[in-house]
Amino acid sequence: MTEIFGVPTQALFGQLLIGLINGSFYALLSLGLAVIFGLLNIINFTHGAQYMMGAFVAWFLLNKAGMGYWWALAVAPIAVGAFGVIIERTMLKQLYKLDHLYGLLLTFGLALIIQGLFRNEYGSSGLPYSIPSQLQGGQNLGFMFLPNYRAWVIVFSLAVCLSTWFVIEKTKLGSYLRAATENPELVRAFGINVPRMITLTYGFGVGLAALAGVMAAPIYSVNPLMGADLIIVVFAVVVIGGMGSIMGSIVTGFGLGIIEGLTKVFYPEASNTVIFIIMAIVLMFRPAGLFGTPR
Amino acid sequence: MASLLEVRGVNAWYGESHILHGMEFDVREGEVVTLLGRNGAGKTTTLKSIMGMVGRREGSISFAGRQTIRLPSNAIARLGIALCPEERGIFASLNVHENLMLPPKVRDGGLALERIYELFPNLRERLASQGTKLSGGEQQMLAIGRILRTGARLLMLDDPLRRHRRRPSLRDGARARRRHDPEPSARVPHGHAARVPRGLGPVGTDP
Ligand SMILES: Nc1ncnc2c1ncn2[C@@H]1O[C@H](COP(=O)(O)OP(=O)(O)OP(=O)(O)O)[C@@H](O)[C@H]1O
Ligand SMILES: [Mg+2]
Repeated sequence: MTEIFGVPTQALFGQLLIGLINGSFYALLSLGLAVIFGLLNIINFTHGAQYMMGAFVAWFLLNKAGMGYWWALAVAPIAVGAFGVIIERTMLKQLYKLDHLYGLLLTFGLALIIQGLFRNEYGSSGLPYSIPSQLQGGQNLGFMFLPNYRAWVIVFSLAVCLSTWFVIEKTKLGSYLRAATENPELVRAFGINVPRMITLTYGFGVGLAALAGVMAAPIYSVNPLMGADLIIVVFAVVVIGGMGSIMGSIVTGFGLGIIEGLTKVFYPEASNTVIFIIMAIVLMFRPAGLFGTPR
Repeated sequence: MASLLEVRGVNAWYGESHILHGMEFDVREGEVVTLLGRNGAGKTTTLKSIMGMVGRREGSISFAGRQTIRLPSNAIARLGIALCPEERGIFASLNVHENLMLPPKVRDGGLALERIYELFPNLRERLASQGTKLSGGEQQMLAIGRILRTGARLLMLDDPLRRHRRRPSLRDGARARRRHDPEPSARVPHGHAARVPRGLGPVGTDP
């Protein structure tokens, strides 16, 4: 068997793959957080719960309506995004003039309520959700076995992240978003309905979380607390990348997933803490994050 | 001729501080009106009140026959009023071209891009630069150029010449204010007409 640095290549690539999968979820979730924070100035602590809701909507669609994975991929982000729009219109919008802290408290409280409700109803053991038939099986690449579904998750989330980046950085719509992030009053005084843009942006960020939830359903089981565990790591990713930077959140998401995977190979004891160690180091030397600008 | 803009008994507040006390003036089509007043008199606040950008305002502002005092600023802009703000408001995360194209067209009859580049040739050469990397004067050109595109019927330029020549002394401003404004409030008076492109009626401030 071939080895690299004394590690069997099978194990190395296996962990690299797991790292990329985790990185896909980190990237999608931190991207949503970055988009929301940019325009709303709110750290959306409900993000993990909304990710979980995405997975649950997929499960409901399959078990109550007979609609499979591909439907869920389209319907769940819209449904959970609409739920986000209601939250923004009824609650978040009252907080924009106040300190960040209030938005954080509100969204954190909402996360606890939502997770509590789902736990009451569905326990915490997790519901199964199977891989869609088109993506079952895998490829033998010679040096490793690549399950099709995992390859799909990596490719699709990378595509979603890059499209989002493209829209924000390179299109007219994106220029409104960037401008409104800097100076919402002036953009509004040019005739653009900024409050509506803020609402839709929140809906979009939440929709991204739900999309990640659907993609996660076949990998991890559908569980009321699936987001609560993940979101802690994602916040560390966001802190490392820098709040509000779009490309930064994508690169750090994937990058940290890979670093975490490699740590599992070379020094497994640290694999659960490596991200937090990196966070501490980054905070010491670049408090605004690797890609962030101080504000 | 009926006025394009009629400002009547306008009061405005920032939080508790009452800034405008019964502003009144008119702007007719094709007219240039200059608001004069010492620093802190309320010129910027007047323009922001017209644009719907101060938290609390009362009185009557009608534009082209429509009452705007209760409209949000995006709706006011769509009626055909555009503001070039005092601090210029060029966006750092947008390049020059994006900055120029940012304000949507609100009516026909705005200047074509070509025409704007003729007026401000510096802009054409810097289209891909970050907006805030332009010099102060170039940023002012950009801030004016972008609202010329929109076809707005009323252009409000807040202190547009600040970057272009010596600032008149505070004493000049105070004298002007005394001459025209007997009351201690920020009632900024006095229009004077000048030649402007047909259909454009700017209001400017320049202390
Ligand atoms: N955002 C604000 N909050 C509270 N008070 C403000 C605010 N902006 C302006 N003011 C106050 O309102 C008054 C009028 O200010 P304004 O900016 O309209 O003056 P101005 O005539 O434009 O002055 P300048 O010639 O210096 O530009 C000033 O006393 C100022 O201190
Ligand atoms: Mg001023």
